[in-house]
Amino acid sequence: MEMTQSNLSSKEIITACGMCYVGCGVKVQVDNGVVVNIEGNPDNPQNRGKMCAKGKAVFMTHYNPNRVKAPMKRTNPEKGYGVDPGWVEITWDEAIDTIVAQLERIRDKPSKFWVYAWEVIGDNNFWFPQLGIAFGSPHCGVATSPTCGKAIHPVEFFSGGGFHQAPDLHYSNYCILVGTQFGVASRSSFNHNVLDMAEARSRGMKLVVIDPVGGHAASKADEWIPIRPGTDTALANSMLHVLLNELHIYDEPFLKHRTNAAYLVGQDGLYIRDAATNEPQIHDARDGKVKTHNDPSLTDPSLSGTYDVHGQQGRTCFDLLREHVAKYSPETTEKITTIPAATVRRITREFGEAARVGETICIDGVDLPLRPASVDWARGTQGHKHGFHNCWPLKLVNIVVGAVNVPGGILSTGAAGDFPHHWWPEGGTDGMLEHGGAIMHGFSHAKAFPGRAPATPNRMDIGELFPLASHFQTLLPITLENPPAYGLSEEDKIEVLLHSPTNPVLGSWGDPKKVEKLLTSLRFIFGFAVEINEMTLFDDIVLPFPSSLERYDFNCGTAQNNLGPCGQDDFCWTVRQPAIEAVTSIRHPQEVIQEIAERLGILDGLYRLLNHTYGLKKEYALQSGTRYRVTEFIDRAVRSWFGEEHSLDWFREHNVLRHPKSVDVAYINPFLKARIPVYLEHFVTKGKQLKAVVDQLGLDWDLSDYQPLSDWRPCQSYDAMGKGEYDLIAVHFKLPYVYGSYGNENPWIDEVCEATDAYKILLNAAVGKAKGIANGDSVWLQSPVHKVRATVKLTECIHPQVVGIGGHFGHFAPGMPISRGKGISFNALLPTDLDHIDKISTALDHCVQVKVYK
Amino acid sequence: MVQGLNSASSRKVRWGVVVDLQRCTGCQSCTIACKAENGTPPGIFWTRVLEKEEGTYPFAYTVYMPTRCNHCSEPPCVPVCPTGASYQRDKDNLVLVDQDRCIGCHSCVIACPYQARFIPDNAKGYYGEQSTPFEQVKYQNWQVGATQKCTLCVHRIDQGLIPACVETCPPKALVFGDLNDPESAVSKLIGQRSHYQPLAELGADPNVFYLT
Repeated sequence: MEMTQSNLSSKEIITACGMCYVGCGVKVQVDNGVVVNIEGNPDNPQNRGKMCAKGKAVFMTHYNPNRVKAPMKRTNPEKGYGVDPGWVEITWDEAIDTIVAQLERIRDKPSKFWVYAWEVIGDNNFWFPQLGIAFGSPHCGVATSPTCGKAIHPVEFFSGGGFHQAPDLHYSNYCILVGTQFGVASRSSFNHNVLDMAEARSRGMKLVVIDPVGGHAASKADEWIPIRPGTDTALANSMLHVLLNELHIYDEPFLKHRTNAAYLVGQDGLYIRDAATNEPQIHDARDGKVKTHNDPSLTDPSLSGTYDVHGQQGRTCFDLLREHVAKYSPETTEKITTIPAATVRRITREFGEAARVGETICIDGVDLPLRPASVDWARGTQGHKHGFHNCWPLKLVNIVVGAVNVPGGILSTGAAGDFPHHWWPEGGTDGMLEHGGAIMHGFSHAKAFPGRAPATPNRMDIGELFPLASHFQTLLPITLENPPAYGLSEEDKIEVLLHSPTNPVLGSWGDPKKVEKLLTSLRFIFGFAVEINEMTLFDDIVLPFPSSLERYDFNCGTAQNNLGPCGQDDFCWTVRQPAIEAVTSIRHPQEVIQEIAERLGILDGLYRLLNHTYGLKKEYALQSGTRYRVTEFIDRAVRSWFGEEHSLDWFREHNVLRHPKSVDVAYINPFLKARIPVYLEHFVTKGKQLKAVVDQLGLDWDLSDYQPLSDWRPCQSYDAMGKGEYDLIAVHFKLPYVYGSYGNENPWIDEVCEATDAYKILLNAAVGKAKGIANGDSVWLQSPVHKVRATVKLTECIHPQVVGIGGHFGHFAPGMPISRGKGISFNALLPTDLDHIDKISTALDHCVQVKVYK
Repeated sequence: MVQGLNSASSRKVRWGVVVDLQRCTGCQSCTIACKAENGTPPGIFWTRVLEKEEGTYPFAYTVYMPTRCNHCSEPPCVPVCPTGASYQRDKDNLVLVDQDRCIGCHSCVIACPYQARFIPDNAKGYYGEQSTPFEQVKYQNWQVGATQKCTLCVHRIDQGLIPACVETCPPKALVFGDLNDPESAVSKLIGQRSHYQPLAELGADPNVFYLT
């Protein structure tokens, strides 16, 4: 017999992958009802026919015999790690009766309902939270992970206009990645950006990776620069100092006309405002007059100088920035970051020269600034006690050379579009960028500018005390421990939780003792599940979730929504459709949500929210009193967005709808009618307002991060190293074949992890030798809150003060026999309290002091 | 290099893979794409990406090296086969195994210097005795006790498609083509870039080339 594949009659389904949050276009081959192959769809401009290991491994997740296939209830009322829930299969009627009864019980206090909705793979990312909001709860959101977008979104909302940032690999000649493996091993539009990165490197773009761990990205870089964790502010301020004060490389016209660099600031750190209009003011060098930023006669804003404004001495934001960063000479910060001063000077010069300040490029007949250099950062820098200021000055490095949303620079994802409708970032308060652009409406991320008025909390996540943060749910394991500490009533505590089919026990929250306490404090938990993971162990009712090969989604991932490829690659929309029918005991979650809402009498409210979120035109809007099959909903959504001819049937057959992106949509900055900041004036005001509220509550909070310019401050792990109690800092890193804990139970991925030593912790070889630890040794890894056995891989590719921990492993749920007992859970090492929370962004510190011993 | 009279180099088509080590990111997509295409059993990888650390801190990095059968022009695994089960196709250089003729003697497994041949001793799936519907379909393509190996996706090549590992490679580190065609992408890359053949000194004339 030849080893060839038999030629059975087969059908090919064009759909979207669902093995991570990207949503690549795929073609699934089904032979006689069995899914037998999957390939990237070359017609989809997002992944261009490429697929990653996770997506290719989908069959094994789909055919996992341990999948949850029917509703279940626990029979053991006791909850905790290692407690057998005593699952019993039940009917859908019993499951929904129980859920509705529990929600009816808290009907008079709807804020006792919490919806943890991280389901970015599909539509339930919107449906789950809207159920909670329709019920009347403020505790509904998707971003409960303490690192997820904590700093990146606030920064991007007011300095880019989109949801995330990405280097423009089409034109970049010099790309610095700090604490991220963009284009190599992680992040959105993965398959797209990996190819763009490979092409950029092939044509000679220099890639510099600054990271404590020399992982996949560092290995592909021209230069890997190890940095001590949590010191990025110091590095960024040094780079700014070298650019502004030593090399004098900055984009003067850009700073004058497209930022607040020329706004005049008084002694109190606030803008000196025009008495009549309350607008910030600028000194015009052309006529020597001080005028408002929007004065039509403003011609040549002065970047430097001190100007008398009605008796007040006004200084420019630019001068304040330059003076501020002068404190951070590379020699000073070398002691903090461990990066040699000469290296900082060299890469800053290379970056500054590569930015080609003043040059332009003509694309499609439009002249645009060309700035082929960028600094990108993400998870590594933002997971920090001072996460916001650990990131913001890195963005500033791009801003001062004018490399924001122009060819070659750092671009905003999802910021603007003209198909199928128009969306665009807009200016607002003080002439500054205030309203980010988004293709979907009702996206639940709060803005960081101009921020909100701090107040005594009503929210159980004390979001009112974080007036500039985009997310707050991270705080629930901390705040629910003691609500009265924040002026909240013990009686108003959250009682009912609905969660998505994810694993926040391993993937989100920190200290496992606190997480267990949080989950056992809730009276009723129901969630959707693919497998019984560590989160599901705490459920009272488990509902089966269809696999990505079994379900429909209108919104099938982040790449077509707010985290798409940057630049002029075609916009595209894809719909996820089943390659194979699920067993009848698995229902589409959207249909379950409708039934729950109808039973609660809130179906109309749910529809109102969904009609707004999806921007459904009147004739396609969901109508009160009707329940819809998921297919009917999607058919309405696609026809509303793309016209009557683009029905669900059209998408079933063609699947991909493309539209070219014009220059102004791809490179928005030159067309933006708003300025972006170099000086965060509103931080001063918000800090003062917040101080008054926390003082009233009797909270002893350090609010020193509420300052307009970034200072480096040590986190607890940095101080602990100084005291000698601990000698290492543990950090987390990503692997290209692992996304969160999603694929961990997939046996193909597990085999790869075994082969690549992904389950081992990384320790610098010289450090291991000094400690008498050999490669493959079993050791204790101990943080202030958790102690765990780990296997060591000695490596040259890690900072000597660092322990590297990849993936989201360390499963212990009996429902995960393949991944159980392998690797460790990094998040379990993290002290989880307000002292370790960034008071700006709610990020939890992901640098943790540890010791490693046999 | 000494070539046999009927060596693959003299045939019309010589299929080969060029691996750009600068582009490979170690994402393991090829490893899993092969699993999805060919349904190989646990512990057996027709293709996989080896990782090797180079240098000393801080000038250290990992090299990612995708490996597979090299479909050598002078395959050492073929002449040692006592039954003729292992053979090289006449029309090109693909080294294949007739599973029905293989007696599982391991001669070829030992003869292959690239550890590219495998003999499964059972048909258990990844989830144990009860194999998945996917495995039930794919496991029909091989037999317990017989040699199996990378076919360079011969079933795809014969339909005019490229191997699954090459097709999916996100950074396009893998390139497939006819090495006998001077205009092919693989020939051009070898002409332009510094490269090596794995263990070339053994004389098998492997048809996988690594660009450095």
